[in-house]
Amino acid sequence: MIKNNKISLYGMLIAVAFLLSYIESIFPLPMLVPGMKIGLANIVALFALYRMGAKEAAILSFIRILLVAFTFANLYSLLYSIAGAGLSLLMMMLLKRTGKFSIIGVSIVGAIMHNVGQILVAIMVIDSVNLVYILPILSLTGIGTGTIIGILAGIITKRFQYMENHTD
Amino acid sequence: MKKNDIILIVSLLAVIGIFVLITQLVSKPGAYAVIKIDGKIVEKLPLDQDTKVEIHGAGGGTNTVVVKNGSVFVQDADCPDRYCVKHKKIKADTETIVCLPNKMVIEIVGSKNDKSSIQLDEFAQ
Repeated sequence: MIKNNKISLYGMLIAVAFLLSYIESIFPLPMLVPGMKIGLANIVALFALYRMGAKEAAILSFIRILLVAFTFANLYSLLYSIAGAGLSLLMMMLLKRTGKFSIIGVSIVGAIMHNVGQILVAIMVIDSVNLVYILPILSLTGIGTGTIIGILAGIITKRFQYMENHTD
Repeated sequence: MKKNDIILIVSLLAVIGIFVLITQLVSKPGAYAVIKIDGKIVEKLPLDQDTKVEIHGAGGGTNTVVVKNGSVFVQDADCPDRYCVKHKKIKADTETIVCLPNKMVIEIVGSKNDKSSIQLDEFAQ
């Protein structure tokens, strides 16, 4: 991909991810447990991981988290967001590299690891090991939301590939 | 979806199931609600006495913690997300209410049958 295309793609994807985070923040899920999310922005992370690369996905996620934290989220949540997204991306990257799973499996693991990362930070920050007990319910919802996000990201990634092949 | 994805989902569900089962087995109703701010115990409320306390968290926020009918919950809070207020009442020793902005945690300790087992030295710290 030539440089200018890459720059505009970055900008566009950040805008999309930012918007998805915003949409998610104004339509919160009924709260069963704190931390439960659909993870719409993970569509962009998955797309970047599959169509650009791990480094690009990490940069995009990091910029999105910073933007979100400084605009409509709370700054205190920055550490949690970075830990969640970091662990999530790392595990998705490793799982993708094995080549044994589809984008849906990768997405599910990403969703669960997002929660695991946040809970680990929370356990350290507020010093309460009991928080691990909310991981099962979060993981259960993570399987559901991860599947939906994985299917969506799969469709988008495929379409984009088709567009790329037909515009050259 | 590949076959491996299905295997992944099934094994994740199995792990979650085992974890929940273990939690159910080890969880028992507690005797005290311990309130911590930033890891330090600030309050220890017996669950058999109905009370209401204002907790001043890290960063200047407050949480109103209520003990009623053997359960504890957060009635009101001035944190931005108010997850702690939405959280259901707790009474078992595997349950926790957390308010991340105020760094406040409510944990349940001790057993109902054996109140002498409460480590008072932990409270004294």
